[in-house]
Amino acid sequence: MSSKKTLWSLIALLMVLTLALSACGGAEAPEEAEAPAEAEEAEQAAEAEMGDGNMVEVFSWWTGGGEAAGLDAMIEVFKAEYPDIEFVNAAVAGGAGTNARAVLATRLQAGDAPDSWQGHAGWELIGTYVAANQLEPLNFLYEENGWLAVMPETLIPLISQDGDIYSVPVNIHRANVMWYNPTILADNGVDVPASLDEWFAAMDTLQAAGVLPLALGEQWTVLHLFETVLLSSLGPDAYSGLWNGQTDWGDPAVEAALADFDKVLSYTNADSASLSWQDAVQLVIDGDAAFNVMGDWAEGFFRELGSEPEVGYGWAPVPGTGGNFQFLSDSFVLPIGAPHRDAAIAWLTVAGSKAGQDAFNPVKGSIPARSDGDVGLYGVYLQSAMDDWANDTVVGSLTHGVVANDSWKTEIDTALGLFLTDHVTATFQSALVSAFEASGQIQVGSEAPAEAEEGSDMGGQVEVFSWWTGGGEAAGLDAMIEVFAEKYPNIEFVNAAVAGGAGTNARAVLATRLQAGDAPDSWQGHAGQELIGTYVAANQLEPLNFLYEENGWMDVMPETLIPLISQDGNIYSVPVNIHRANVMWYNPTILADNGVDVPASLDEWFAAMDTLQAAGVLPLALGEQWTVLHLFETIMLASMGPETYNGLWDGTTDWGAAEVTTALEDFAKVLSYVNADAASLSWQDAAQLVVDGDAAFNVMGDWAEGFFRELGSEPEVGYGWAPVPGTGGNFQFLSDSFVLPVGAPNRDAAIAWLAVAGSKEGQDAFNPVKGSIPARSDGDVALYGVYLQSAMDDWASDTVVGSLTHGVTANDSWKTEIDTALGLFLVDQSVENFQSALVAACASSGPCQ
Amino acid sequence: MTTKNERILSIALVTPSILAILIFVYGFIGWSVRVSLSQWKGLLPDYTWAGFKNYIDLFSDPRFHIDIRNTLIFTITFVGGSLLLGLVLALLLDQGLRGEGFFRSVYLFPMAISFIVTGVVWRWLMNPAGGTRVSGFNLLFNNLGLEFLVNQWHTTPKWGIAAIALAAIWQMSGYTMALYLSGLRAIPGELREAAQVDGATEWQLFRNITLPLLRPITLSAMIILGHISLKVFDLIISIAGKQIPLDVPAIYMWQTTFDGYFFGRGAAIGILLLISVAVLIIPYLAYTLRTEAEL
Repeated sequence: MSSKKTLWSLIALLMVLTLALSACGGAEAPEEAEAPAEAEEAEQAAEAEMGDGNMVEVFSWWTGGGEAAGLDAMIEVFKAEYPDIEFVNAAVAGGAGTNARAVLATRLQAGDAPDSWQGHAGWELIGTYVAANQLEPLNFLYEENGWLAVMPETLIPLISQDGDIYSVPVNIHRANVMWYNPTILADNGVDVPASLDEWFAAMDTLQAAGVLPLALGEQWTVLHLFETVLLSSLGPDAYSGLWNGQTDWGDPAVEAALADFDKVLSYTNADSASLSWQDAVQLVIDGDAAFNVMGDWAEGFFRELGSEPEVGYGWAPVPGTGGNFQFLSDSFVLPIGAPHRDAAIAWLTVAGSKAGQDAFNPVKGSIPARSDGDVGLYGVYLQSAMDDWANDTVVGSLTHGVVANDSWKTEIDTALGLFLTDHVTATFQSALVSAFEASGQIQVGSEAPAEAEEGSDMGGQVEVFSWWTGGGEAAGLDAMIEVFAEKYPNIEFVNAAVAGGAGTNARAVLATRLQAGDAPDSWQGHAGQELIGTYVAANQLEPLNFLYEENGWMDVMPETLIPLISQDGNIYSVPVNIHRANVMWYNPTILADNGVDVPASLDEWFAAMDTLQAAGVLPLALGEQWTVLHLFETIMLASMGPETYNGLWDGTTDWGAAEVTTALEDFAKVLSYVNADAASLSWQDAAQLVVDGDAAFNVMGDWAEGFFRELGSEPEVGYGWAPVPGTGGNFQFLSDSFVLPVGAPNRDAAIAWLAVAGSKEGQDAFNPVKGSIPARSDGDVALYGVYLQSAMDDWASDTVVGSLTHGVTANDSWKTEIDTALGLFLVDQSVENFQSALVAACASSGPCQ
Repeated sequence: MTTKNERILSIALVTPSILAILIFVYGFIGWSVRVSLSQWKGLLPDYTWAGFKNYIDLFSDPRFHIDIRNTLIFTITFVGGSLLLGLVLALLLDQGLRGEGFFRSVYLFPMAISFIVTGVVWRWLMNPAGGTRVSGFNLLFNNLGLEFLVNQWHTTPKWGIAAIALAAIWQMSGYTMALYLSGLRAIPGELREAAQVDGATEWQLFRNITLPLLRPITLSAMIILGHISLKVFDLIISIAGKQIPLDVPAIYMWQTTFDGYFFGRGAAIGILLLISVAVLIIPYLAYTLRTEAEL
């Protein structure tokens, strides 16, 4: 019985959950489906009307009350000016912006940035988004629109870093406002205090009279009170100095300020922790408390309660802060890589305009950031605030994100919370000092540099993805990073290398990141179809012709290379190094002992290997399957010649043709000379057989040369080299290259990296260490060894053809199909089946489709 | 009253894990099925409906034929070998010799090692090189005068996969032994004594009493070993890398998906693997549930 009931309740639960899930899905699905269609329509309309920009998605946490109404009013202004741009209001409700900021962070991590978003002007934005290179500087907007003339001079440094302004403030709120109950003050014969001492005296009187002097709410309102008392006690210069490192947090003046603050706290209600800011200010209106310190949004709340300005409530600057305007501001930003940059700029222009600000602020109950707002639109309190804004010294608010980054603010808040439990000023001060050292130092430090740099002053970071994690590759990359660091000292290089599987792991990780929209700024890939077939086909890469033209790379890279790394006339990568695939390594001693010359044609090679086999020497050393594929491509080239070989990859050579059959038969014959245990050997094992004297020949790319040197073998003594017989005059190349993804998070920095990767300096730093030759033909030969010098000569003069195994000639899908066909051939040894599988592979994934 | 509250509480407690399983197991199985029915090929998702094309193509794909053949050979060798060796070891340990605990641990140790480590060690042991480069087992056989045992191991044409199964047997037979040992200990002594009184020989005892009573153990062991065998991937990769003669569905799935970007085909292989494991497991689960219900 009972188990049946449990079962039923479980089923019911599952159904409810299913319903809930499908409800969520149902709500979202139509939006997603409609959005692209709308965008497309708008795009067509916009093409006729204005450049690009057909919609603008603006992210905020203004979802209710005066905020939402103000935003709507400003959107009206925007629509009037830009009727062709669709405005998408991506507001997220809840938690006074906490939810919205979490959603924003998720979207930014997924590479799905809105076109603009709201944030508190100052270090909350700078410390979070500028530090993460998400924002574009907006100085150009300020200059174009003359905003510098209409915004207070003292404001600009507070919303800038290193001279770059990063946001457009829309509204201004004042933090240092003291609200009071005029009736209580009059009843107790107390004047509105103008200094801290007067305030203390007034509060003593009130306390003696049995009135609560100062109403206080939950902890963030205590932090708010704290910042105003700091300003009052230290004065504007020393207060501002706290945030830019000029005032020492351990200073006796700070200690005195903390003592003042502790004294202020002694006048507050005991139940503050249980009150919201509204509860606390209401105590003033209701006649339960004399004073309250709160930002000027409290004024809107008083009006809602039906209280009259200057009758039910009065205001003054927090005692001791007269002449100072401690501000906070909501502002909008321009993200790097905004999906609709032009439309976003149009939105920012409206947000900074007189019309936009005068539409927004009267409704929201704040004052415009511009000093030329139309006073007639604003109420009594706001008019007085506008006067002060234009004349006062502007300082920033801590609680509301202007002066400190989020980490620092959180630590100060923690220190304050501890102080509220123990009221020990010394502990509080030392906690504030350590907060500065832990999180403030970074902020201060970042303002310091600017001059005294030699290279470009471009800043930010660049994340470069590769599978160079060890050996000569990693060392070469490090050498090139050094060149980059010299030229761009302010760009932080993030080396996102993934180890393992000769790039297999890295490419799987990259695919996952790209599918998640989290592209690195640049990544390594084999030049050619491996990149083009995979990433260009998926529209992930920008063409780089402009870089080639700007830097004159066309003149220094071999002509026959360019078509192999291009598609439809667009070049998609910057090759850094060149390796040669068609190299035959041999053991000079074995050849001499057996009276064999270095073969130059396939027939000579077969004859030589017959001789060697008869003498009991293993003619050709071979390794695991990919080395067989490598051998395969060189034999195809040897047997067919470069034109026919190239034709295999562009569709002009028929895979079913008789010459392919001949080449496959040649390949089958070559395989008859190899070791039986090939499948169990790595390429190193196979190559080592040659230097150890166990085999006469091995075909492997020229990275084998570095391995031979590591084994302590001498070039031309322990090992010799020649092109694979029949491929003389051809350079079958492969190349590691870097790309520029569409929507690179730091596009400028990525371009800087690519410029270094293609430069003579960069390539001459990388290649001697990696053991490869530069893609440029003007490398400094003296830096390279004997083998590499000969390869550089060949690179400059030979016909360049691409390697299959290493991604030049075929896309990944095609290559794995060919690899499968080859694997099956190794099992059944049937040339006929092999050829028909190759024909099928070309039809399914190659150009024969 | 309390029982009702307890029931609500218990449902509330299991809900998160049910949700997580719904999403991360069944949701993703559903997603894989969807991908396997699409023509997604390339970096970015393409859910264009392709019906069962991926599946049909697989069954005419010579590489997949090799995969199925290899899986069958591997499963038969590995499951059979582990069961046999496990049973023999368990019978030996059951004789009550001294140091039983020590030997039990020694036989169980290999199970504590990952397949990757086993693979690397056995790769060295099963080195097929001849002539001057001979090493591992082949060297041992040569030195012991057992040249007829020298062989190509995993590079043997057609049957190389059985050599991989040797490494797997080495790793898992200790576990099978532990299963059998517990089964042997559970056989009541009275049964054996009764048979002995009736004059049964040792072989008859084993044939007619021990083996039939071990049948449930054998079934469980077959299920556990069987599903490991169907999903084998790491052991083969670490011994032989990716090569067609030793290909199995899991390797094909990995290679075609992440090297070749045939996401649709890779998902189809994954679903076929899932079905093959389900065919093995579900009857067993049904059987166990039924027996439990009878008890």
